[in-house]
Amino acid sequence: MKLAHGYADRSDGDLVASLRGGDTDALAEVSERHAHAMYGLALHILADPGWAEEIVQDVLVRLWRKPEMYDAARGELRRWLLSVTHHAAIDGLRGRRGTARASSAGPDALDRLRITDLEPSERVWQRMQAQSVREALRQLPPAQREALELAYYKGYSQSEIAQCTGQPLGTVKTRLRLGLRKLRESLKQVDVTES
Amino acid sequence: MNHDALRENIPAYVLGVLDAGEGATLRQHLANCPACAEEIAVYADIPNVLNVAVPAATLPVGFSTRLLERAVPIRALPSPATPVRSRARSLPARLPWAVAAACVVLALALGGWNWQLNTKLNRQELELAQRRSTVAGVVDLLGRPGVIVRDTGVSEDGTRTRLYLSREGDLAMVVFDGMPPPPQGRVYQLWLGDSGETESVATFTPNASGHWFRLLSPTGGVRGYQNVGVSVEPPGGSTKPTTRWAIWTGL
Repeated sequence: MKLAHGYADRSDGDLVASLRGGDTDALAEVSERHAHAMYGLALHILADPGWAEEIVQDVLVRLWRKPEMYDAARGELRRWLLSVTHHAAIDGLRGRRGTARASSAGPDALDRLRITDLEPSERVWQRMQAQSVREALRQLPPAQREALELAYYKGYSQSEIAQCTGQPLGTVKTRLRLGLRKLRESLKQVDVTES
Repeated sequence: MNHDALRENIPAYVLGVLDAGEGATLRQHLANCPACAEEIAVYADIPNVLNVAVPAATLPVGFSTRLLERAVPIRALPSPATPVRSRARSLPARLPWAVAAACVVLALALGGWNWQLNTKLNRQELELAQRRSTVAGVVDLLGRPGVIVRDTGVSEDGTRTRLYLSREGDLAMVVFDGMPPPPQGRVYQLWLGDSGETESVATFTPNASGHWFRLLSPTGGVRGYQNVGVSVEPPGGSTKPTTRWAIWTGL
C-alpha cells in the first residue's frame, strides 16, 4: 500500500470529504499540512509539549470522527483547525486554573457576526504572512502587547490581567482597545500593500 | 450598563475572555447598537491573525503514530480462552483464511520493497503508523468469529474481487487479484457507494501481480454503504467518479 498516494495535490476540501469515507491517508495528509501550525499554537499557549500534543491530537481526531464539523463555507481548513485548537487549549488552561471560559466569543462567535464581512476577512487571512503579523505585534507598545497576549494566548480575563500586571481595570481595558486598534491598522496596511 | 461601558468590553469579547454574564449583556446590546456591531466586525479577523502569528513547531517524535493509533484504534484481539473459530471447522474451511493472511503478508512485503526512503521523519512515522494500523486492522478482522467472505467473481478485465465483512458491520476489507495496471498516466480510485452517492476511499495502483487490498473502516462502519466501486481517474483522484465503473459490486 502506498500511503497518501497522490494526496498532496488534493484540496483541503477534498481531503475532508475523504475523511467521511474513513480514509486514513487523507487524515495523514491533513496532519502533514496543518499539525505543525496547530502544535506551535498549542505549545505557545500551554508551554507543555505533552499537553499541546494531546490538544492537537484531540482536534484532529474530532475532525476524523466528525468531518461535518468543518464547514468550508466558513473559511479555510487551517483557519478552522487553529481556531478550534486555540479554544481547546485556552479551555484546558482555564480549566486547570479553575476559571472556566465564560464568554463564547472569539472566532466562532465573530464568524456569526460578520457573515457580510467574510470576503475581506478571507483576503486578509490568505495574504497575511505570519511574519508580517508578528512584526505588527512587535510594533505595539509593550504594555498593550502584554495585555493582548495575556488575554488571547493565556485566556486571562480583564480582571485577571489587572491583577497580574498590578494595573487598574480601566487601564487594562484601554490597553486592550488601543492594542486591537493598532493591530488592526497594521493589518489593513499589509492588506492594502498586497492588494 | 450604558453604551460606553458596554463598548469598553468589546476587545475582551473579541479576544474571547469576557465572562458569561458580561458576554450575554453585550450580545443583547449588539442587536440594538449598529455602532458596536460594526466595531466588532472591524476586529473580526484579529483572533485568526493572532493564531497564525504563532510560529509552527516541530512535532514531537511519534506524533503521527499516536495520531493514527487514536484515529483507528487497534481493537483488542480475542483472548486465547475465547474460541475464535468453531472446533468443528475443517481444514479446507480454514484455508481461505490462511490464503487471505498470506496475501496480506505478501502485499505488505511488496509494499515494503517499493518503499522509497523519505527524509522527513514525520512522513516516515505516518507511513509506519499506517502500516501498523493496517496490519492490526487486518488481524483484527480476520480474527473475528463470523466474518463474512464474499467472492464476487471475476470481472471483464480479469480482476477477482473478494470482500471480507465483519459481522458487526464496522470493518471490511476488499481484495483485488489479477487486476491489470491502470492506463498510462491514470490511477484506480476506490469508492464506497451509498444510495447513489459515492465517497472516495483511496487512489491506488495494484502491484506487479495485480494484487491490492484495502481495509475499510469508515466512521459509522460499513453498514451504511451498499457498494464498492473502482473507477479509472487522473493521478491524485477525482472528487466524483469520471469514468464508467471498472468494478462495481455490492457490499
